[in-house]
Amino acid sequence: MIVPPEIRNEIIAHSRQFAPNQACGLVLFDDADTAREVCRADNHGAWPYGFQIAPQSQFAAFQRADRLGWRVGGVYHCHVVSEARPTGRDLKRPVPPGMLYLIASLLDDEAPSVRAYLFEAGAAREIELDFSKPTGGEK
Amino acid sequence: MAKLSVVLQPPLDQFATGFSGRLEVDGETVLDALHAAVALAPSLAMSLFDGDSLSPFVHVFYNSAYVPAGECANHVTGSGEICLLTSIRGG
Repeated sequence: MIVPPEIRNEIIAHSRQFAPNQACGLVLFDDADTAREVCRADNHGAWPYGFQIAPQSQFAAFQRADRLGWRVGGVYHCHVVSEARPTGRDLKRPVPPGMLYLIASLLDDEAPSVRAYLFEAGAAREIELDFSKPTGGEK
Repeated sequence: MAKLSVVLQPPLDQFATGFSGRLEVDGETVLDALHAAVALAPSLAMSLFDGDSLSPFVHVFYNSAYVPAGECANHVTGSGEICLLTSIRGG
C-alpha cells in the first residue's frame, strides 16, 4: 500500500495540532491501494490515552469515499508520548481485516514517525509502507 | 409502513452476502428496519444486537442524521436510507 509523503505529513500535522490529546481520522484509498486523502475526525471524548472516531466524522468520510469512488482503507491516531506500536487498547477492538491501522508517534518531536499495521487473528502485523511515491492525478 | 434501504458499510456488508451492502426492508421505526434486515441476513444479528439491545459498537444514521441508540424505536418520517457503521476506537 502506498502512503504518499503528503498523507504522512498531514497525519503528523493533525497529531501535533491536537496534542496532548490523540488526533484521529480516516484515510481514503483509491483502487490502486494508494492513500489519496486524510479525513480528520473528531475524537469523541478526546483525551491523551484513547480515541473514538465520532460517528458523524466517520459517516462523512464514508460518504466522501462513496462520492469519489474511493474507499475508507485506513484509520489513524497518534501516540503523543509513546512509540507507534499498538497498545492493548488498540488490540481490544481491532479495525476490520484489510483496513490499515496507522499510528503516529510524537515521542521524538524532531523525528515523528508513522507506522502501519494490519490486524489478523487478533494480532497486529506491521506493514512496510512506501512513503515515497507521489499521489496520482487529481480526482 | 415505510420503505427503507439499509446500507451496510464495511465490514458489516460481509454479513449480508448477496445483497451488495444494501437491503430493502419495510419498517415503521429504525429498529423495525434493523430487525427486518436481520431477518433477511441472519448473520448480521451478532454485529447489530447485544441481546435485545442495539450493540454499542454500531452507529446508525437515518437520512444522513445520526440516530442515538435510544431513539431507534422512534417512528421514521418516511422512506429513506439507514446507514450502519461499526464504531472505531482504540488508543
